[in-house]
Amino acid sequence: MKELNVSNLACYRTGNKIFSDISFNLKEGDVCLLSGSNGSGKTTLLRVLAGLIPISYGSIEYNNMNSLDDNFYILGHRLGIKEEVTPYEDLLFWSSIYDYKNFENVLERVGLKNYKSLKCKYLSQGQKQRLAISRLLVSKKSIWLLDEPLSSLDKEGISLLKELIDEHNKFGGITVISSHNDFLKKYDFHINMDK
Amino acid sequence: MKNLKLLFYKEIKGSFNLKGSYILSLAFFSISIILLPIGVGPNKGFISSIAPGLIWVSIILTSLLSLNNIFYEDFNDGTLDLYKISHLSIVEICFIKAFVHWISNFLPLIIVTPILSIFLDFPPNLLVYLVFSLILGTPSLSFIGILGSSLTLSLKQHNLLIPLIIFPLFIPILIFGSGAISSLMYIGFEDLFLRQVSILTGLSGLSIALCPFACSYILNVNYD
Repeated sequence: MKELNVSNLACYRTGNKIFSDISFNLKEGDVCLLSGSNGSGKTTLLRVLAGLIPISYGSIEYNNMNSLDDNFYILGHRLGIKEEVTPYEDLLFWSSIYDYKNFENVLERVGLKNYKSLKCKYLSQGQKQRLAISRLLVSKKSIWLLDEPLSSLDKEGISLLKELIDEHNKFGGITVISSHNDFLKKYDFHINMDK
Repeated sequence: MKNLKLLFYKEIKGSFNLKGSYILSLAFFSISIILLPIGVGPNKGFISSIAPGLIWVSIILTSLLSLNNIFYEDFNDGTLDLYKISHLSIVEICFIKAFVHWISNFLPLIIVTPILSIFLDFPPNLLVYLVFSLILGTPSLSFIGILGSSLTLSLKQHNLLIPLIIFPLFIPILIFGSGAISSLMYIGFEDLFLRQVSILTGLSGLSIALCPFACSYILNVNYD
């Protein structure tokens, strides 16, 4: 069974501590919730896990590797959506990169089928978030790092995301999610970044 | 290879969209070339004699308008994060970024140069040589440019710093670029032209071969 082991992880930036002594162990199918006030380091922790920010101390191990390697996808605050492309073009590109065949079904699943030919600049923030979620699905990664994924989502969007996370974990995926909202109700590991 | 092609098409489409900097580059370059003879005055022989230098200087100054955007927009909107976590190699991304920058910013300038050269009273029989030297020399500007763009990625004053960092590296290209055409105009010596163009080609080859690797390293250590 694949495990994600994080031990004594710390991150300092320009000498200031962002977080320290973060340890957890997640198995296939586990969900980890990161909570905490603004500036407590939730986003930084997710970016450290993704390798986008270097580790100051501690270690991350997944499947006997010293990083998450190529097994994760991070959904962050900055969605990387270009205004002049359509959701169809955007997902066509990313599904080709990740070798995902039926990406049109994914557009339908996230509720963007009717907007697939509309330029992204005309999409609402919630629809852009849905497009970002659709990339998460085509990436086919076993670890999902979700940074405040509920932002801009309506009730329907939130229940869709909950459904997707449940499915992902049911098939052995691992989810690390930062949120102020306890929409998941049930999680296997909780890290309060304020403590 | 498939991913490279996909990335190339995505980037080229992005570059030629309405927000593309190529229109600004083209306008700036055209205005510079049109205004220069007006500023210099009605001395026909003089403007013609400095035309190669004026064209190369205008091209280099125009490049500064677009170099800061090579990575900055992608960094700010999160696209660079997505590239970094995907299977795409950072070296390949840097290569494509520079190549697309050349296609979208320098190629249009090279295409309009023969038309604009009329304003500088440039000898029509040397136009082929001028275009030839620009095609061989300008790729190095884009590939050196990605170094400046990646070095200043997370800095607020990146617009100011990029010229300071890369200007010294542009000087050899300016010397050999304008020198090659001047040698033909003044001396009429094709051999000297070929030697200077060979150096220009060497500089471009070197920057194409090395800059994507250097840029990839910079993006790995300067990404925060």
